[in-house]
Amino acid sequence: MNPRPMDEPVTPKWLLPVLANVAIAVLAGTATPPGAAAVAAAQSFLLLYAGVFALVGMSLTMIVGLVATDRSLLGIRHRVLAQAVHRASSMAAMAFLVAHLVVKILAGHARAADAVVFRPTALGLGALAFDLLLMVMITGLLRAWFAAGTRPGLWRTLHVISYFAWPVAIVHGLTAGRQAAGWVTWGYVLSLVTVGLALLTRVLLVVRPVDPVREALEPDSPRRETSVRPTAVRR
Amino acid sequence: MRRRRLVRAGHARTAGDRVSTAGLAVVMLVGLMLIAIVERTLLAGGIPPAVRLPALTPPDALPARAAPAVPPTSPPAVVELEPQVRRLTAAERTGAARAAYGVEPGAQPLAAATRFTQDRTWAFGTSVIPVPDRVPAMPQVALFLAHWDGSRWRMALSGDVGFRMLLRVVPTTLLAAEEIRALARFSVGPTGAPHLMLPWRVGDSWTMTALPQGNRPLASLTFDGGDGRVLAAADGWLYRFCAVPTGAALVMIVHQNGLATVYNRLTGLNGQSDGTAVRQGDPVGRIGAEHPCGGAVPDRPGLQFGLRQGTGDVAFNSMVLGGWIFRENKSPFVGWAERGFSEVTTGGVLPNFGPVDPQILSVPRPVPTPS
Amino acid sequence: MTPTFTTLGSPRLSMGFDRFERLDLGRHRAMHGRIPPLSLGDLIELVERVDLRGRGGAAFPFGRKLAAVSTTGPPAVVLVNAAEGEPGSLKDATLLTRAPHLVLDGALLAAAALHAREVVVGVVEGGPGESSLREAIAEREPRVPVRVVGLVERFISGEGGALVRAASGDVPIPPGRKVRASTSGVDGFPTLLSNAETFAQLAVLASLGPELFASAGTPREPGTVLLTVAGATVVEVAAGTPLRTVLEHCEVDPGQGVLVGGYHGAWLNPQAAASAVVSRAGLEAVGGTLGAGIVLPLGHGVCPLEEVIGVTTYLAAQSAGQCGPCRLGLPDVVRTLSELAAGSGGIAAVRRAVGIGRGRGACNHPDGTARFVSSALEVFARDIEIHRDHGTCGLPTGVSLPLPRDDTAPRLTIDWARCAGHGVCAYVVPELVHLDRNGYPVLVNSPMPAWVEREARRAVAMCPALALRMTGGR
Repeated sequence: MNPRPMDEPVTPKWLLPVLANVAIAVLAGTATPPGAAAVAAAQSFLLLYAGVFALVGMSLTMIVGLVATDRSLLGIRHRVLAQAVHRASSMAAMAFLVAHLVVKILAGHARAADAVVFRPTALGLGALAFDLLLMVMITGLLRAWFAAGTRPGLWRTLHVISYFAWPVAIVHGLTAGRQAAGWVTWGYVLSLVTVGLALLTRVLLVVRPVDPVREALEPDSPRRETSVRPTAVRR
Repeated sequence: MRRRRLVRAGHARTAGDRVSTAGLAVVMLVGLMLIAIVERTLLAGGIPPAVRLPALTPPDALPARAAPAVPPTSPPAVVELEPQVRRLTAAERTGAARAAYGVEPGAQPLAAATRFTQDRTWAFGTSVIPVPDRVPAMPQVALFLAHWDGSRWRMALSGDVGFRMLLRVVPTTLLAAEEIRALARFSVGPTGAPHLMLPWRVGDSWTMTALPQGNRPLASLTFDGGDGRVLAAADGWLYRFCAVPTGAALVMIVHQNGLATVYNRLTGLNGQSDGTAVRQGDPVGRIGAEHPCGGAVPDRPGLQFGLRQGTGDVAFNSMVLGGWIFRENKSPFVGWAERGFSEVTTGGVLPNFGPVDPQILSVPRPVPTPS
Repeated sequence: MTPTFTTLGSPRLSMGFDRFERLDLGRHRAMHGRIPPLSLGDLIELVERVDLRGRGGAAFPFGRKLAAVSTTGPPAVVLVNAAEGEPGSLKDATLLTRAPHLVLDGALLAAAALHAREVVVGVVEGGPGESSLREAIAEREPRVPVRVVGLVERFISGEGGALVRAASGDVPIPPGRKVRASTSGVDGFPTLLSNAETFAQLAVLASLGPELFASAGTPREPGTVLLTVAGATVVEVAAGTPLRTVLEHCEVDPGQGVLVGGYHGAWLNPQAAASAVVSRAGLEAVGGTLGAGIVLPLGHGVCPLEEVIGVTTYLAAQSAGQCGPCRLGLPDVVRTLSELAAGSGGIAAVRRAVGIGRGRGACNHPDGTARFVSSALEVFARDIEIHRDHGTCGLPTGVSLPLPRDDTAPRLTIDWARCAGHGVCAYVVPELVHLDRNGYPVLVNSPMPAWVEREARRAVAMCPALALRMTGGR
């Protein structure tokens, strides 16, 4: 059968000590010449690609998140999976975004203030996108709190910020730094348009009036908050 | 029907868990990379000066750059530069030198700032960790680049990430665009091998003397013979180390693809300044019996010759010089140069065929036939 | 609530209960005398002459248990199970509260015969029995060390394997693989595990001798039996007493049916209850089981199906959640029963759901639950028919059978104004939510088992409409 205790935590207990040991090993290894060479390679890699990965991850997060919310595209099973992908890719995207900022600041390409203060430049757009995404991430983490609170609707209003932050991030990615290849630009434009269209469809679907068929079937469907009894009484 | 749904629910849970685990793994990996980078940055002396320039554009694609227009808040402390370079060299390269010399390097590093921009906010030069007495090893050398940001020197040694960072923003009044490109490749690691010749007149034969060190049978390779004139093995930019008033010095030539050739115990230098572009076969100096960067006293005049990149020496193994393929074998522990079926070991004589490919001239080994 | 205690016929275990609230060591000795030590061979012979059986529910011959422990090598442990997990049973608590020395006498008698290293008594933590027992141990100086292990009251904590784990310092849930306590029990030592009443009976047997002991009861099942009637009265009756007599004596009516053997037992219809006699053979003859001696009549004027659903829900929530038959099988039983009560399901679906766990699972919890539900389907067939035809039987709902109220457990609730019937929750926690015909969630109305809490939180976090929430909770 299934011997796994069900109240086992999501992150196993051994993870933190192991992670601490690995971190110490990395700190020690970095001081050796081969370690220094490896870090140099990692640094050049992150300088070049952390931003790109963050942007790609963000795009994936946007698309998968949109798909997971809507019931017309996927079955339940895949929507649940899509939610997991949405969370995982957003986590990875945020990690790469933070790496992007840290590495750029450490390399002297930007000052710490540039990461958060908006100015009407390519760099400033990135800062704006970062600020907005930070807020979106916080709302994402607090989703269960909103669901339990008095105004669950507020969550959606706040999380919708991502639809503004993402295009800003894309514009930053295309204008700042090295010249993007043509297909990259087109790829981003295509995903922008796709998400835009999907969003439009969704808004149209959600805003339309309540399903008249369902209304006719259940004229007195319960519209109050209650703890449901196991015997839903039907007459 | 319901039963099947329940069973599948378990699957989706685990699949979702797996996706979350993957996301978490990415986050942790990036985090570990970041702490390593932060540590490296701190070890290299903090964040380099913030200069807003498009990143990672090849240097030759840029217009000639001027030094930053922002006037520094205080004049560059030039007197502090060389001591700081010495300290940086000691901090970063002592470990590598210990490995190369086999013993603790005794003396303090030597540093020489050889080039400055006009406002003295940018400097370029050489540093070396002297070889302890009686050790026949090749000296560990490095180039440095330094920038005065208004309050302090930001500097990096060749081979460091910071060196490449500074190379991206260094004004072309200090280093030529071509030179920047070669130095960047030198710092990161060469791309491909240049056509090298042996560093003497083509056609002449010199005697090869090899001394092992550590795991390299050809760690210290010495040549002598012929007219004693040392020539550049390939095109490149020339840098001098440990120059002493008698004219003795160590010379390193950084070639276009980033590999460098090192010529030790030279005398009678031509007086080329650092960064002089040299062509293959240009005279560099003469063989000598001095040892400007320390080390064992040679018993006769000769040229100590080596290959180098970024932070360390490059083994001769598989390298082609003057039509010879050099081999450094670990087991049996022996090094030699081969061409066709002739092999030359220490004490042997090497004719310089020039910068040619040995494959063209190679002939198959004679197959022993039964008599 | 202190249970009332009565006796039908001559008192044995309850000797002196009519005069004293609690028998301390002096009163106990005055009633039962000092029990002489017996060799293991003598003890086994004595026990086998009256065929003493375990009184915890399984009715395993006690003599065979003794023999099994003695034949293995290392020193033994005597483990007394006084932590009855069943809400309908009060007899062990009563024994411990009022005659703790009787239980200790029996346990120490067995321990001396086995040359045991220690006696361990598992009790409900913080219950009245615990303090009485500790006091009793302090009153006497047992030759074998006696240890008391407190357990949090939970249905399956009364399971023997769970008790062994608790006594060894583990989490008190049944072990996944069945291990004989007699081979490897507490801390790996061979363990004589039996119920508190069994040890009390053993003490009485040793004190009276086999002939006098067999003067009450039936020839095949001599002696008396402790029953807990209607969750309120503990009664000692001689085996073979008609069940009707017991019910009359306790002034309760058989009502719509009588549950015998507890929540792992079976329902008897009123006719069977009227003809049955209280003994293992007598109850089995009418399709019931003596079990731990629990007798729960269901009065008129309550909906039996609702009662059954309430108990099954409780049983499902009490599961340790460590094996499939419990994790998904039991909630499935609750769901099919709920559908049956609402008139949308069928008896066949319930039977199918019940059949899933039969003969499987880490302990007999799914099996016992299946017996309980199956017998209910027989006994309350008429009521079920009414439900099937009308969706309700019109009787007031609300569980009258004794169930511990657990208001601290978290619950899922649905904000109906927001719910859009995405169905994600039913997919993530099939244990707690299933969907109606229109795709809207129906919650299993039970306190949430601890093992499903994480998934429930996940369902709350995943609800696309933010309509699910969790209330209560620790």
